[in-house]
This record gives sequence, structure tokens and C-alpha cells, in this order.
Amino acid sequence: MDVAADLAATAPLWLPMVGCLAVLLAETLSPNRTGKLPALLAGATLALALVRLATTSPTSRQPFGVLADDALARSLTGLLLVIGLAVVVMAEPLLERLALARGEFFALMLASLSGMVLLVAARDLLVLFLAIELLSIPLYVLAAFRRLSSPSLESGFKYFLLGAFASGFLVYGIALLFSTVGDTRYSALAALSRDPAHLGTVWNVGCAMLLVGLGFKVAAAPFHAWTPDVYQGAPTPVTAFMAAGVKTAAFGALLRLAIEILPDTASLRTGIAVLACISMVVGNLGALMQTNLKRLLAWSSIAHAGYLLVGILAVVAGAEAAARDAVVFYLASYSLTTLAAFAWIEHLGRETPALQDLRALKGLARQRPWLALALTLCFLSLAGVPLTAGFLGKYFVLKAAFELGTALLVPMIVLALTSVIALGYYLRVLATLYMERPANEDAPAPLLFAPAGLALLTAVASGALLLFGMWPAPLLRWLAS
Amino acid sequence: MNDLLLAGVILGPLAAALLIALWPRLAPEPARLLTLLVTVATFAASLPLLLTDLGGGMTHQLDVPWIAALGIRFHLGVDGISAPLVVLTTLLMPLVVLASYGHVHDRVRQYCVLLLAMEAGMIGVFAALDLVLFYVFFEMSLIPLYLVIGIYGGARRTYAALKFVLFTVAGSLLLLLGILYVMHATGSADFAALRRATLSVREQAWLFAAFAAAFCVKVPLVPFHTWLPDAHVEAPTGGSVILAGVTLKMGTYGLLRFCLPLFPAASVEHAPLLLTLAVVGILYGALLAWAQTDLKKIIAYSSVSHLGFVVLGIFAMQSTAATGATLQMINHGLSTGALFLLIGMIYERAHTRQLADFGGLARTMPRFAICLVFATLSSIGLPGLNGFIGEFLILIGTWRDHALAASLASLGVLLGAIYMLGLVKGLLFGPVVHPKTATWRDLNLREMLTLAPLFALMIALGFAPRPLLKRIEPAVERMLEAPRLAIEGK
Repeated sequence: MDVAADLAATAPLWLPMVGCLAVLLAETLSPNRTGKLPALLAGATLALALVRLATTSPTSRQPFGVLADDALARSLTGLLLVIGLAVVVMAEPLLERLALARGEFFALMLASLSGMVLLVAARDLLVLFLAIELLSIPLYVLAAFRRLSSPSLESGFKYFLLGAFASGFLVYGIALLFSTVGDTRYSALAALSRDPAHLGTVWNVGCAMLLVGLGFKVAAAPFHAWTPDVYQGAPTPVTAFMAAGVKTAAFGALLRLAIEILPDTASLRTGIAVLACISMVVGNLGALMQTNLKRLLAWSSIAHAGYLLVGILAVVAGAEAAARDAVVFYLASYSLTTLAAFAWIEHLGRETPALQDLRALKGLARQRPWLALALTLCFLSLAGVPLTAGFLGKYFVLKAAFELGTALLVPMIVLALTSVIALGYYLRVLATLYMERPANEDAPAPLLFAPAGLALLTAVASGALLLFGMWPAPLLRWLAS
Repeated sequence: MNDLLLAGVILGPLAAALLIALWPRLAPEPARLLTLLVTVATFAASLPLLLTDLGGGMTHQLDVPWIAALGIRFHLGVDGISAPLVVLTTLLMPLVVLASYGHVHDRVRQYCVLLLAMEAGMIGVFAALDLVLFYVFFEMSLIPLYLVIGIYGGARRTYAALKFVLFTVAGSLLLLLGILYVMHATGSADFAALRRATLSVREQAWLFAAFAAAFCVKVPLVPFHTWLPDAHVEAPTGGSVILAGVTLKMGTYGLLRFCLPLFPAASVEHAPLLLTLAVVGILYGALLAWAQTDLKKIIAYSSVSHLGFVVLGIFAMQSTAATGATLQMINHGLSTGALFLLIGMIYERAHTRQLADFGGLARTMPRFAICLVFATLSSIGLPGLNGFIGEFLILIGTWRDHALAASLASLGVLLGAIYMLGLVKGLLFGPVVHPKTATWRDLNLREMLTLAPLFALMIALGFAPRPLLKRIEPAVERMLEAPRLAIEGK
């Protein structure tokens, strides 16, 4: 094993880790006086990792025997690094304004990010477990980062309790799979799963438990109960990190499992289809009742997990190549959309529940047309209206599912019909922005807090939604490389 | 050969919308004037579409790849069915802008941007020859209309706009599934390629259901019509004109363009159902219209009735009837467009739309009275005006194979005359009811100019429909080829 070459290939994985240590070191050498240094360090390491990723090309080698360096791992790594950069831009002004420990925040964020990057490359169940824990534990702390705010504490605590519970399922599932094969490497497991006749109950239960564990991380119903509270209570940049980053990483892992290990059995198909349908129905119906923007996005993220599971289902059922690209594209467009939406919320400085309420946005289009337009683009993309990236994501997933003929027709019809419900609440936000009169006609809604970096992030992300919706070729090329 | 005219007609308004949106500190009135000029220019640019000798095939085609990875092409083209509808759209838009001087005084720039974006989407619907592109335009025209109804509409505008969108989207998402299945089964989304492809009878039945669901909601066919009165009543005048004049035609156009030639066996199989729904729509719509007291609701339900005639003509599977149906799409756009404009004009003066509040306007507003009578006569199909030709062709075409449907439908003509003349009588004659009637000015020059093109076309099409019919007929024939074969095969 050539350690130097393996290290070179995994640079995007350990660079955030190094960044994390550098931030901690800086913080130790000069406690509480580091200013913008942690953010700069974090941004620099992420940018460096992106450059490293862009200047090398995928290989078939398996670094350290347990990781992948293929196109799938690299495209998702790139996506995660971009998400990380966006979260740095989003978090810095908030931390400064609330005088929170910036060094700790960015160190934890980078640690969690390296867990995400590890997760999408893992080709061994134990590495998968390690990566999930590395991703989760810093995130529990981040969710509770506003120590004096009780919703934030509640968010962190809830996430921790239920996350620990889900980890239990995951590790038990891994143990069961290990007991059938005597190995945790994907290659060994794949060899067995190619012959479904040998798969016994233990294998099936193991797979089911793995699904439960990952289902919790991607916020799929019925493992979604934590999502609205955690999303609402956590500081908005952390919520964005959870919504975009965790979803991308956990779906990346699920995608790899589906491609390499999960056999195409009737019970597994049914299981994933049921999860997908429940997520779409529960997520969309739940969102219908919400008046808080962050909660609304939390419920909608449950629904989107359902849409993505339809893509995973297509992979399991045999439409591997097309469905893989579809899921990766969907993850990219969804991440971009949620980042834009949360950056928008953060841009308005809406950290208190009263300001996240839809009613506070009445008639915003009259007073701040550009801000209203940015949020409009986000919600149209979430709703999957043509000419936005969100539409192409949905179109791509459905097209991949149709490669199998009418085998997956039921989840697809559920997808189409629940999208109508979804449009109901997404358009309600638009109605609030455009069709209602502002509470105070004369004075524009106060912009509590509008740093330039966030304005730029919101503008770029929501503009990109439109651009990629009409001209996705560059994004597709980037994801495929 | 690629012809850029259609792309220009679509992208021109879109570019203008972008310009108006982005131009810093553009005052409302210059923006409206610019919109008027752009829409007039678009109309002028679209005229060659109609003047080309169409001969039944697609002309002015543009076919370039758009999103290659997803199999989406930017394929445009028009024939004798779509060219008149494109021109109807470009004709109505400047009139809608002219009418907006009377009732849109707030957020004018936004209104202009929405109108232009909508125009691009609607032209795209009629010109798209790729199914996915068609879907994109179908949805693209929806959101601006949602905002126009929701921002500029009446008291219950938010509800009405949402209802309109949800009904349409529920249908159109099934359409999307259908399109994706067609792509999977035939490997193409291109209209020309699909006409050569053959789908099994079972596949056709499901696909027909998915496509027809989207289009029947849009038409709207009874029992999917409940969104229409709400949307019409709450929409501003411009929204109503576009809704009735253009967007409803997307449904009937889709049935004729996609359902008949692509799923001929299923179309023949389900024709009796569609014919029944059409006749029910004609009669039920007319009876509902008769019972209304709100002027806009009367016209809204009359649209349900009139569009029933169009569906009847299409599913009679007979070239005279289908030609009449296509002509009737244009006629309905002209006469209902004029009626909604007139109702908008009287509403701007009276701020009420209740029939009971009016009376005796013939004495105080003679010009308005003449215009209203004229539009009404066109709408109820008086010989010599356009409406007669369309209805007559539909009825004689349908009579051959479906005598019962035709005779029941002709009852609808009678009912139409009853409620429309009732409306005229209530508004124009009898004693003056509203105390302020005397203060209402008669139509001014701008308003007359808004109506004039519609009246000119009503007369022209009434006396000389031949040039237009000559263009429609061969195109309709091509759409009917496949269903004919299916009938013979049975």
C-alpha cells in the first residue's frame, strides 16, 4: 500500500481536518482575540481542498483499502466543500454579532465537514459508522451553540438524544451484516448480495437497521420527528449546514450502499418505496400547517428526502447509472436552494421566532423587491417550477425512475400528487410577499442586519438556481467529472 | 432550416420583461408605453406566421438542442392550428396593456413585466414541438398569471389565484409523468418523431388519461371547471382577457395537437366520454350562466359552455367539425376578450358588477351600448359575424356521426342567446337603477381603440372566413389522420 499516494488522493478529506486543528491552535495561542482569523483559516482550507479536487481526476484506486476515489465520491465531496464555504460566509457575521466563540465554531464545523467528506467516500461499514459519528458529534454541539438561547439548547439536546438512538440502530445493523459475511468491506458484502438466494433474515434485518440509521440522518419519515424543532432552534447557518450538508453526505452514503451492496429484493424495494411515500406525504402535509419559515423549510426537507428516496429506489431497482446522476444533481440543486433560502433568512437577521414568522414578511415585495425575488426563486425551485434547478432535479429523478418502465409508478404518482400539495404552501409564501399589504405601509420592513457577504451569497445562490434551471450543462459536467 | 422568427417572437417579450425589471428608476408610465410598443411590435412580427402558405405542415421551424443530457430540445414551429392562436395571443396583449391604463395604477412596472413574461410563455405553448418544452412553457405561463390575479385582483384574489394554480398543476404534473413515459417508451419527446411512433393500446389508454387530465382541467371541462368562475371574478380585466382569450385554449389546443395524433386508439375509445362531457358542459355552463347575477360570472360560465363546443368539435373526429373547433378557439378569444374588456370598462366607472345595479345605459352611454351589443351578437353566433361560422361548422360536422350530441349542443346555442340577451337587456335597457349612472362617461378614444381591432376581426371573419379556414383545414386533417386509421381499424 502506497501511503503517500493514498494521502495525496484523500487531500480534500484531511485538509478540513488540518484546518480544524489550525483553528484550534490559533484559538489556544491567543484565546478570544483571533477575530476573523478562524473564518479565514476555514475558508482557506476549504478553498484549497476545492482546488486540489479540481486539479486531479477520479481514479479507480481505493485509498487505504476502505475509501473510494471515484467520480461519485469526488462530485459529492466538491458539493460538500462548496456547502462548507457557504456556511462559513453565513456564520461569520452571526458569530460576530452575537459575540460567540468563533474559533470553536469553525473548528467544530470543519470537523463535521471532514466527517461528511469521509462519509461519501466510505467503502467499509466501520468507516461509514466512524464518518457518521464524526459528522454528528460536532453538529450536536453546533446546534446548541447559542448557549443562552433555550430553543438552541433544545435543538442540540433533541438532535443528540435521537441521533444517539439512531446510531444504535446503525451499529446494530452493521453488526448483523458483519455476522453474515465476516467482513465489513463493501467489496466482500457485494459478493454475497449478488446472489439473493443466500440472503437470510439476518441480512435483511441488518439492511433494514442500516436504512433506519441513515433515514434518521436524511430526515426521512417516520424518522423525522426531530427535524422541525432542531431546524428551528439551531442557529440559522447550522440549520443550513444540516439541511444541505448532512442531507448530501447521508444520501451520498445511501447511494453508494444502493449501488454496491443493497440487493434488488422485493422486500427492500417495498421498504424504500414505503419510506419515500411516507416522507413525501408527511413532509408536505406537515409543511402545510407551518407559519415559521425555518419550520416550513424543515418539513419541506422531509418531503425532499422522500423525492430523493425515489431516486435511491430507482438505483436499487436497476436504473443505476441514470438514477445515480439524477440523485447527485438533485442533491446539488436542493443544497443550492436551501443554502439560498437560509442565507436569505440569515441576511434579514431573522434569528428570533417572531421575525421568522411568515406574517413578518407581509408585502415585502413592495418595499424590497429584490429580496422578495430572491426568496421567490428559492421557493419556485423547491416547488419544482420549470426554469429553476429544482424542476430539473425532479425531472431527472422521474426520468431515471421511468427507465424501469412502470415498475415504480406508485411512488412516482405520489411524488407528482404531493408536489401539488407542496405548491400550495410554497405559493402561500409568495402570496404573503406579493399579495398582502405590509403591516406598516410607510416604513420599509427593517433590515436588522444585512452584511455584504450574505447579500452576495443570497444573490449568487438564487441567481444560480435560475441559471442552472435554464442551462444546467456546466453543473452536470462538473458533477460528472 | 432553422427559422428564428418564432424564437424572436418568444424571446423578444422576455427580453423586454428583463429590461423593464432591471432598468433602474424606470417610471411607471414609460414602462407601460414601452410594454405597449413591444407588444405591438411582437404582434407585427408574428403576422408573417399567418401569411405563410402553411399547406398543413409545420413551418418556421427552429430545432436546436437545449439540455442534451436530459433529452430536451428547443424545437419550435407552427402550422394552421397554432399560427392563428399565436397571432391571437400577440393581438390580445397590446389590448390588455391599453386596457390596463384604466385599472392598473399601482405597481405598474411589475404588471408589465408579468404580462410580457406571460406572453412569452403562452406563445411558447402554441409553438413548442417538443413535449418537454411544451410542458416548460405550459408552467411558465402559469406563475405570472397567478401573480397577476393574486396581486391585482379583487377581494378574494389570493384564494382564487391559488385555486387556479393548484387545479392546473394537479393536471399538469400527470402530464409530466405522461411525457416522461412517452420519452421512455419511444426514446423521443419530439412531436414529429412521436407521430411516427406506435404505442400499444394499453399504453395509449393510460397516456391519454394523463394528457387529457391536464388539458381538461385547463379547458375547463365539467366537472373540472370550478376554478374558472373564481379566477375570472377575482382577476383584473387584463387577467380575465388573457385567461379566457388564451390560456383556456391551451387545453383544447393540447387535446387536438397531442391527444388525437399521439394516442389515436385511446382517443377514439374515449371519444364518447369526451363528447358527453362536452355536451354536459355546453348545457350546464349555459344554465349556470343564465342563473348568475355577477357580470363576470355570466361570461365565465359562458366560456365553459363555448369551450364545450370546441371539445365537441375536436372529438367528433371529423374535419369540418375540428376546423370549426379551431376557428371557434379564435372566435371565443375575440368575443370573450371584448366582453371582458367591456365589463372591465363599466366596472371602472361603477365599481360594481352586479347585473341588478345597472339599467338604461343605452341612453347615457351609447357607444358602450353599441360595443356591448356587437360583442354579444358575435358571442351568440349571429350570422354575418365570426361566432356563427365556428358554431355552424362544429354542429354540421358533428351531426354526421353524433346527431344526438349535435342536437343537444344546439340547445346550448339557444340558451346562449337567452342569457346573453338577458345581460344586454339588463345593462342597456329599462329604467336607470344606479343613482350615479348619469356621471359615468361614455367610452373614450383609448377604450374604443382597445376594442376596435377585435370588432374589425369579428366582421372580417364573419364575412370572409375562407382564408383562415383554408389554413386551418389541412393542419387539422393531419391531426385527424391517425384517429381515422384507428376508426377504420376497429
